[in-house]
Amino acid sequence: MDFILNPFVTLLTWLYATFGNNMVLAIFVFTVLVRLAMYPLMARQLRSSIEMQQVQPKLKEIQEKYKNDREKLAQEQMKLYREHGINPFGGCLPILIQFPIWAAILGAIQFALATTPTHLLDLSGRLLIPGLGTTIPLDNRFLGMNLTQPPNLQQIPAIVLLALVAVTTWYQMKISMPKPQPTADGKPDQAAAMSQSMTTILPVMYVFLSLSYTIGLSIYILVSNLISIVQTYIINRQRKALQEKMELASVAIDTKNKAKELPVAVKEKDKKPVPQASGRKATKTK
Amino acid sequence: MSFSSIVTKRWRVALAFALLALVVLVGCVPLPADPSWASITVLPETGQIMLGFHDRVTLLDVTTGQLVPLRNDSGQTRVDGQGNPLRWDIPISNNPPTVFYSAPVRRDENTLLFPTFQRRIYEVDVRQALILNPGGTLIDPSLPATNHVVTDVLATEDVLYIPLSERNLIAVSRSDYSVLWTFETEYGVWVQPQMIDDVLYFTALDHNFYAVDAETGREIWQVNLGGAAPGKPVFHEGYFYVGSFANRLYKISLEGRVVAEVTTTDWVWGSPAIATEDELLYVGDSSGWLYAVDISGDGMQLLWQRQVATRVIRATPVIDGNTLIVASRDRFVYWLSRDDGVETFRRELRGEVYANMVVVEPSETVRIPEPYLLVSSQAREELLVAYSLATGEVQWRYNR
Repeated sequence: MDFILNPFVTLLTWLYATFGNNMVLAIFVFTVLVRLAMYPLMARQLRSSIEMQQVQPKLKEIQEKYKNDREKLAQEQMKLYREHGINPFGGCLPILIQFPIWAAILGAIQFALATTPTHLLDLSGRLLIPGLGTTIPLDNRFLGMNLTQPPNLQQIPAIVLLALVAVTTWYQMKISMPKPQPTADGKPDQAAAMSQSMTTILPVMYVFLSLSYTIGLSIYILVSNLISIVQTYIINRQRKALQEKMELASVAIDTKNKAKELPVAVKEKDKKPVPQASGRKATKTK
Repeated sequence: MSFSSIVTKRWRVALAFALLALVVLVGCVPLPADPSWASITVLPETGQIMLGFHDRVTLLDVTTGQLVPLRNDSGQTRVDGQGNPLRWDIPISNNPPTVFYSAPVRRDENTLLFPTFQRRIYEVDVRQALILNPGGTLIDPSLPATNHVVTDVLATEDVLYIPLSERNLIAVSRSDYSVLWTFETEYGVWVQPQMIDDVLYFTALDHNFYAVDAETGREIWQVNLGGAAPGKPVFHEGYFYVGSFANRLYKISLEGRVVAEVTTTDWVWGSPAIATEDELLYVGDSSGWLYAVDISGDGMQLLWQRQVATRVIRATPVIDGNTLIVASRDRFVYWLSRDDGVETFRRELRGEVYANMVVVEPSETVRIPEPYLLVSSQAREELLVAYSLATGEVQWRYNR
């Protein structure tokens, strides 16, 4: 863990020294940097979710077609994923990778804001930039709160902070979740419903985490949520543009196909001899 | 395998990972170690060892390392309701949990005062092993609960000078613990003050070394040490010697003037040891380097430096003739030559060493065959070990 933790502790301390010995500003910039570094992962996670949503109709067709042949169904699904370059579990890997980073951030805040002798001893040796030790100890006070302590519910700033953590988590989840769509039989989509339930579970979980750990971590979560909201907004715009592009392409293909299929339909309907030119086209199509 | 089942599984997996994250955050982050190290006090009249660690205070027999039995007035061992012998071992408080960094302070012949991390003072009857004020007395309730006691308290006849971790040094009445004055620093005081001619001298985490009038709490002077200074300055022949996180060891006059300094590799936390007969000073740093410095005259001259340990040396080195004994966070105690720091032999412990070592000399009250070196590790199964000072042979181990 030290290979992640020590650079994080060093970076946080360096930011503190660089930004006028202001710990909250240091956590803010630190969060922005971490989120920027993790942006490709998050984008991949979101895109994976979008791609899965886009192939949903085709998947349902396959499911209907091969409902009595599970082996064939699995083969066709995998084929569809391959054709669209989708890893069905691609959205989970970025989540998995974020956890050690989270743990390191939590540790970095705790170590950098060492408050007891043993905490401070643990800090020695973690600062990788020579001379950074002269900034120790770091000021852990903010709006009357101690950044190293869990939020005290008797302090108004702490309550506001927790509320902001809950609201931003909820909103961030809300805008990043696909909208629930009913299934072909009119029943609510179970998966989408479960996804929606995450918008309730996660804010509660984050408030629980904030109450269990330090105000420093709560600030990290809040800033992280705000950045996520911006990132999701950007990705959603990209997604919308992509969807429109794909729909246009799809319409163009359909039109082309219809144009190709039309002579055949006419031939079958009218049972009349096909003109030579059209007949050649029809033959080519076959 | 339908699409909805895939997506459901995806979110199940995500939920599982979220729960896993909670477990990781709660259990796997290398959270700092137990926030305490042992305070070791040898009671001169009995030679018994008072050991405060984490949430308990115990009294040990220096010859055996066993808990001292409680006796009645006729000298018989007291027993509990089941007939088991009673031992001198008191949990100070579990609610709220108590942690010690401070050595006890004597109040009178039979009573010791135990300041706790949580800024409470417990009065303990030593003969009965009895807490006289259950729950303890909170010092200066007006201060935030996060203002802790993380070092020894200085006691005079009437006053307790209590350094606090966040900002203050406070003087309280020894009789009723009322606050007499408060001296404020920016980041707290983590060292026991020293009193010389009614002036208190102490370093603080705000990078300063202060001289303060003990009567009024008025500042006399301050000098900037360039970094936090959680180590207690040592006074010798008119000068203080103290290290800081600026990777420096300073020599400071009683008037607050830095007269000399020596550069170190890393933070200096522990207090130096001084061999008074040849005016040599020894101090360790946070990277395990040891420094020998000639402090004769007005200056300081580095004689040698050597990396003797792989991790922090916080405990003050012990000088024994031509031998220097150093304990480190790397779990070793080193016996070294004072001439050049070359290792003679070492002993391994199960836990890291932070607390200062204590030498117990044989005397009429302390019936041990030779001087013992008491070393406390952070491992409960080897909380206190008595070594032969000369040979490093283990005499006994105390575990909790």
